[in-house]
Amino acid sequence: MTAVLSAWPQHASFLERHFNSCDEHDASFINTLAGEVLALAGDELEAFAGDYRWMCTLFLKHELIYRRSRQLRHAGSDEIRSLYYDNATDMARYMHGLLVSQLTWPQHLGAQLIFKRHFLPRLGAGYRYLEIGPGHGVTMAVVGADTRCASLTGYDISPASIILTRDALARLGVTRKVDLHLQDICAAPVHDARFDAICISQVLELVSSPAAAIAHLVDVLDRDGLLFVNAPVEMRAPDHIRVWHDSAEVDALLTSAGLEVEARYKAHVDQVNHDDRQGYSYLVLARRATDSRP
Amino acid sequence: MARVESLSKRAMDLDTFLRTVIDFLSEARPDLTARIAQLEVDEDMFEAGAVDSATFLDLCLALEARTGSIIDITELEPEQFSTIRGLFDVTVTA
Repeated sequence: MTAVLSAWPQHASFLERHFNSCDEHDASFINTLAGEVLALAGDELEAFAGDYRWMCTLFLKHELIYRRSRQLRHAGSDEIRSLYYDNATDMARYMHGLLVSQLTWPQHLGAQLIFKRHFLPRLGAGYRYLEIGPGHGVTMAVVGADTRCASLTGYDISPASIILTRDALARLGVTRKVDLHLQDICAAPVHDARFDAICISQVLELVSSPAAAIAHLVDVLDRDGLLFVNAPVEMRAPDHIRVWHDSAEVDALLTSAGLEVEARYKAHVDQVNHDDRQGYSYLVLARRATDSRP
Repeated sequence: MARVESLSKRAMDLDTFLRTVIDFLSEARPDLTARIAQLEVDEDMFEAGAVDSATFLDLCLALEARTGSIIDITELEPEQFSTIRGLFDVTVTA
């Protein structure tokens, strides 16, 4: 955190509150995650910290505009794609910022903890893993280190992000084969593959049709497969084209696609009072409904 | 959200603005009243722990409602809006 504080000394009180409210049982995981951030940043750590500050400021500015108008700044996924996903420079800065936020934002750190603690243990030996938008690579690297995992696949809409993910996984010591495909999840996957475990984290609010995205995931989810969904509720970001106002909206999306929710968790922005109104990452584990299994 | 009573922006000088901000933050963060009362106009409110992102956004909207101005921080660096004087400059004299 020294680099973050060097780039942004005013952030000290926030970070102090954040880490002081973390459970001491999570210290080992947090240290591992911090090591991964350091490994990915390498000798560009100060630049990554600067990109984190840039991203946080960008979020704050967009949030003020949203709260004033109750409307997101960008309306469509095509606009977002040209502004962000096809812009290699800003995409890299954004990814660097998101990477650091996995450690420093309660709602991101909490999601990582729930993925590791509640999702991975439910998977059986030899599971085939698919992640939508693996981005900074930290989540996929956790899976890559799991000896029970048989295969790693990632779909992403951004060529720049795919390059970044591949480089990140190499830096994090993932030496096994990883299939990364340019794939819009709102379109039917062109690769004929099925998966036992699928992670879609902070993607559904970016896509033109969340229903189509979930339907395509259900199509490639194996009969007893498990889906991990992370949807930010009452949180906005510059590339969001949709706001989830209630976790029930996400539940309805999943059940409409023939899924049954197995477990629900929240990782709050306000990790002291757990105030839903301040926003939270909504984490859902879901399987095919019993009567819809092929 | 803490409430800020309506007041013409022409009637607000920096001292009034400072008191307005302190009153708002004291109501929004009663646990920090003593620290907030000591805020100075050139002190970074984030660094002082007086605001977090959520409180800052609430403060901006309350100040907009009171002054009738739009606080446009889109092109600004954080140092330009994270002090009370910085906010005063973009709120009242914008």
